[in-house]
Amino acid sequence: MRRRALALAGVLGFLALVHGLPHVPGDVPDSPAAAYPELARRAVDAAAGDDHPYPLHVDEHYHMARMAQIDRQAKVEIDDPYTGEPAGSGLFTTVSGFRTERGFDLAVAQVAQLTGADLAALFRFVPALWSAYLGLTLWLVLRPAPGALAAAAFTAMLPTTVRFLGVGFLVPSAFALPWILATLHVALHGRGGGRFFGLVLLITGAHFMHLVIGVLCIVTGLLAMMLRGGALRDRLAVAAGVLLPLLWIVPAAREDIVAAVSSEHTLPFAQDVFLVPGMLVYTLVVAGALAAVMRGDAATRPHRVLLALAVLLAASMAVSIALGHRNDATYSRVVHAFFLALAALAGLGLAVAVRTAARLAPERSRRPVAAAAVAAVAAVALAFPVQALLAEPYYHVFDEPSWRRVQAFAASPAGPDDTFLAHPWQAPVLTAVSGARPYAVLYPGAPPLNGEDYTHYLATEGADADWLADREIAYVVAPVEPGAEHAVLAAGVYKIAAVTPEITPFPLETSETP
Amino acid sequence: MNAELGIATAGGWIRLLVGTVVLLLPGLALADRVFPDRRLPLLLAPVFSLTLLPLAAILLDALVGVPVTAATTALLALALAVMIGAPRLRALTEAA
Repeated sequence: MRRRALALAGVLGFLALVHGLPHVPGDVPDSPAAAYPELARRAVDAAAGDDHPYPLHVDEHYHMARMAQIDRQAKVEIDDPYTGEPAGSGLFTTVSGFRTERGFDLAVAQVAQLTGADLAALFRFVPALWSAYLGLTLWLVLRPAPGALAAAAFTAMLPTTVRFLGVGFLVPSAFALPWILATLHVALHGRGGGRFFGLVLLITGAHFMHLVIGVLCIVTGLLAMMLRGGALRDRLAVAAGVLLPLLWIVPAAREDIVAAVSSEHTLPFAQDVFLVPGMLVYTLVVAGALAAVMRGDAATRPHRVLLALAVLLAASMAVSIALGHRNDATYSRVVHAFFLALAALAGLGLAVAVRTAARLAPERSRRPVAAAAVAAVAAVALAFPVQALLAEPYYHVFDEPSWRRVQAFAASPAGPDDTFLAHPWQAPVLTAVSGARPYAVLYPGAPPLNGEDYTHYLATEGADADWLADREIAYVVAPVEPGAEHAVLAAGVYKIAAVTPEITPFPLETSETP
Repeated sequence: MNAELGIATAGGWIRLLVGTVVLLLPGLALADRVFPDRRLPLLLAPVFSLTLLPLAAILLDALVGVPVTAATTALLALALAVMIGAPRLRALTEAA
């Protein structure tokens, strides 16, 4: 028992380390064999505080601004943090998909409120902790079937890339993945009225987190209902719990769903993400799928549900690619759920294969030999995706000097009534810490708004007073001093002196004295 | 660097610990209702809590304008835990 708990703790620590890699830059290993030594080096760096602790992805910055606005205004229906425009009213306007995952923003804001943790600290540490929790949830859902712990370890292969996002970032599509597993577990093992209400709550909550994951929760719940067996009354109760939330989700989110499925973007398909697990993992996945279907027992029921989910997701992605439909809902945002299902199957495949082979060993030593073999094969198989994760490049919007400017701006008197000019990519976080409105800002998936004005400011070495006054810019956060009269609040943080309109002198009549 | 991110003081750690416990209470209560005779599914408490708290806050904000602050979130978490865990609490009280 103690040995199992230690093994579980070791796997969770490994997952936290692997999925914390975006915050711990280092050398790129040139082979899978060099992956673990480099991982160990980065673990030492992380423990020593030699890391990149700032929010990374532009989607994180966008959500950080919204979370801070929830905390600042103390309400759910916040004004737009960039423009100050009031949000739409109505109970279910918050059920919307890709750009306003309000449930996610609210959940993280509530975590920050309860724990007192700084939002930036949550963006640094929650991805690693939540990735470990995802592995723990998968282990819970799959046990007591063989290979549950190995399956948890295989979630290390979930990619985190700038293109696809992933569990290494604090973003809704990755954060909501445990909702799929929780729905599966409740649908298969929940009891009585608690099961019904649990499903209703999970599916409604998942839609508030992320539209695509919400839909996948419904699909998972229905697959579980079909594959769970048992009394018809129980299956109908599961179906009712899964489908009832559609009564309030569909009317509110119908347009979002249609837009999400039909919209297209310019990002490439990037099929190389499917090469990340490597051939050994895919072989184990096939073995696990065969074992799940052939065994057909109650213990491997979650595997069959996840196998069916993986097949559906693979079909969705294949159709997207075949039709050239560059879409998030049918392609980009289902990649991680697909890999999660593969991890479950790979764990089962590995355990079944090793148990079969271990029959060759003397009966007394079968269990320890099998456990050691599972650990060894999993380590070899995971060396390939770990190498890929170590080699994954991430952009850094902030460094120490720019973060010092963020802190100085947070301490400045700038507030929601002020407009500031800063690098459009850094503006969302500056809005988060101050409440001030950015003049130039980056919305995820679009070119920077007024980005050319920031370029002009730099090119003209601070523009001039009229240029800044025309844009009502009260603060500048940039490495270049403004060309207007200003106060220096900190290095790179400037308050423009209040502009008073120029008064044309009235020609006074003079009386001539004789 | 962690100090700059706001989590390295003793008071900060205590609040982090207490806040995490309060955060998990409604999820633990719901997990206990969904899986009344099993202990391991209590591990789903974080998912349940992060489902209950936002949904409750959305409803209360929309219906009666309850603000989303640290105090109201803590009260909400405790109230949900007591409401959902009432049968278990009653059984424990009677057993004692």
